[in-house]
Amino acid sequence: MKTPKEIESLAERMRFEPDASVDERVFSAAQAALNDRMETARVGETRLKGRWIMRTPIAKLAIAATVLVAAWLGTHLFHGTSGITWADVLEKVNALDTCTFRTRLVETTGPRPDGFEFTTERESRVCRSEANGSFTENYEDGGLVTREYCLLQDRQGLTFTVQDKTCRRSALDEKAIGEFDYYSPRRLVVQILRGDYTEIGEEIIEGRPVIGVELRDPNVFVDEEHPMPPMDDFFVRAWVRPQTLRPVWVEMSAVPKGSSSRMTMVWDQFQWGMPLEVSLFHPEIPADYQVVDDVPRDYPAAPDPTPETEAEKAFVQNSIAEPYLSDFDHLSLPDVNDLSLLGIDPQVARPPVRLLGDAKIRAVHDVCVVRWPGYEQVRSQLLAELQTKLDIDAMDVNSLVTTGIALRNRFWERGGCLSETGYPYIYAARLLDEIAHEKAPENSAVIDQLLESIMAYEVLYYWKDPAPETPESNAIYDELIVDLRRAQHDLLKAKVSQGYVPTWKDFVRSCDFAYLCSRTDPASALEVTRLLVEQTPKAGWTYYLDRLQRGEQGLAASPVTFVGGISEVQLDQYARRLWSFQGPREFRESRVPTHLKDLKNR
Amino acid sequence: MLGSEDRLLLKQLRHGGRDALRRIYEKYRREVFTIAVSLLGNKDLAEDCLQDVFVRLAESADQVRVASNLKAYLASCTVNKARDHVRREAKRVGCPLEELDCRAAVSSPLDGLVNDEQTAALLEAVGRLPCEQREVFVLHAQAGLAFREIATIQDTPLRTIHSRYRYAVEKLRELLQEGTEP
Repeated sequence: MKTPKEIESLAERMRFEPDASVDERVFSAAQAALNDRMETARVGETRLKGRWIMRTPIAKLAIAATVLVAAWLGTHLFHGTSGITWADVLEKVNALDTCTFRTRLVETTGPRPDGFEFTTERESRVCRSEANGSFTENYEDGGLVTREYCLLQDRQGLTFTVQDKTCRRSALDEKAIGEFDYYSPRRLVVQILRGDYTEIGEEIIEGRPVIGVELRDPNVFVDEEHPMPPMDDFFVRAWVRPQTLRPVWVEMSAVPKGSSSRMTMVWDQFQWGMPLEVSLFHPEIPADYQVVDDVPRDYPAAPDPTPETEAEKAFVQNSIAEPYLSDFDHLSLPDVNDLSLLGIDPQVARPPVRLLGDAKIRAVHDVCVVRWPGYEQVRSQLLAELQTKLDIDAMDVNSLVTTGIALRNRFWERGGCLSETGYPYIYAARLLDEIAHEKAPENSAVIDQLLESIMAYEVLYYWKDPAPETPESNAIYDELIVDLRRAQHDLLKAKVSQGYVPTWKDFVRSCDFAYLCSRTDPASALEVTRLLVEQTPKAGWTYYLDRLQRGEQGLAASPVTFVGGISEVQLDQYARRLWSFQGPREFRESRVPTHLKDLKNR
Repeated sequence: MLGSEDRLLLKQLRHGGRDALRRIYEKYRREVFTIAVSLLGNKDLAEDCLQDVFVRLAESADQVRVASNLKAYLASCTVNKARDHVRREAKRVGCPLEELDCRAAVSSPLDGLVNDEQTAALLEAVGRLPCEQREVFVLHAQAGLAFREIATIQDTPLRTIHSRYRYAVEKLRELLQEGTEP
């Protein structure tokens, strides 16, 4: 049996030592606790000192002087109502080189008069190191879609697409690094606190009290690379936890000028100063991923849009003065709001519909149109009703077209192709345009109206999710629509042979025709392209000459494009048509042809 | 008495000194871990306990009132955390010796092997002591705390601490004897 001394000696020698990894974990946790205590103590001390100072009369004078100095400095770093010294927040955020956070981008129209609410939501989770770069996971509907790496040390960008197992690899140039810096949440907070912000009181976020500031001047975020478009409304808010002086929620919300949708970006679930493994910024490309190198391409520079010749000036002036499809704008439209067609009650209320995302909008669009009865099925009944209710047999071409425009407007008001009750109006519009076209077959402006009515509900290709490599085309574009454009082209050719100088509307029609022919009839595509090239000096569309010449060589088929509009979520319902499609008036007003967009000061 | 270095470290820690925290950790990590392993008999629990003790120290350094020395204070914290763990775990879990980085002073591989066996046996025996006796034995025999300091930790008269220690050693002698008989 061991003696007590032997047992004590054995116990004295019995020593255990934690692993190095445990040391690291324990010390990091202790250090984080120390940091947290010091941050809390700092705020507490600030408040305590403030109370103590104010008890003494002399100090009251001193504090008053300090307040005056603060006011003189612009007051923005020393707003006092919250008890927070915002300069400390600024200093603290500036000192934090790493963070992890979540971002959510929500774009929504809110409930609209037509009963729809269009919304998109995107979510990302980001690990960010100012020294090493960022790692971002992007989600849609809760599923991981892509993983993106911005690797500052390797000067490389990697994007892994989960669905098709590809990895796009690109070199990080100075511009890309500038973007990395620009989109830093740290920079965002610093910009807010350097701006003319106001305090907006307390809130509870994630169960904890926070104090917020708000900035309403978007110009704070403007630099050479990031001009800010005009805004109807803008604010950015940052909510800070007073105990730690660290931001816990940042929100930027904007309504671009003239837009009906609000975009809101939220940064939350922050972990500031989080140690990030260096290995995070040295990702391995999985063996089953195909690597695609992004090689910088030399795109031809856009030509100078400034008109020089008289013809070019006229082309620009006409395209500004006469928007495409404006030929009947000077005529008043009849009231068709109470018109009931095909047994549909024109006043029936729509149930509210919330559509989330572009894909959903397209899917609902196509499902809805498929459910409608076909145009040919109801054409006879519709014709009879229009003859009875509107006396269309007595109408001239202008009346037919303007009634068609009014019916088309009514169709859009009812929700367009997302509505199950709007189709009688667009079918009626098409029918009246067809009759007008029969009465005036040589009037290209009438054909434009007919095409617009058809394209209002006929899309170039049908939506499938996931999108197939070759989408299913809509045959009407290769038949009726190309025939109508051909008729316009034939009219143009005849007039040009008699010395007519083509207008910019002729140019749009011809470009459509060239594009449609390039799908099935290359000879006609080449013929119309050559005509446009030949007419350039007289017609003044020099801006598009290079693209036309490449079209002649088979490299491009649609020189004119309209820009604007589609970028907003609710406008995706007007996509999948020819470039010349104008859609409802509010959509049309945001669209201009590229030469106008590229003109200086526009 | 609080040593001059510990007093300085604690003062620096109260003002947020990271270097002070690191120095305290390096100085006492082994003692704290040894007490935790001996009291809990489980490596994972001991690691959690080690973390809890130093996080607690960092969180409340400005409130810490060290009566005698920093080592005794940390030992006291370790005992309290170990009690919490024991209450949560409800029963002790055996500790595989190979998972522990046992670094008793040994001079040869043979000694080390004998020492490992002896360590395993002692650890096992300590685990079978009643809780109060175990604490007293570990804190005195392993951590080197004075009985007076242990009396403060257990909030128990010094005489009782002496008795507990004596009973603990006697019990260990019996348990270790049992382990060597065929």
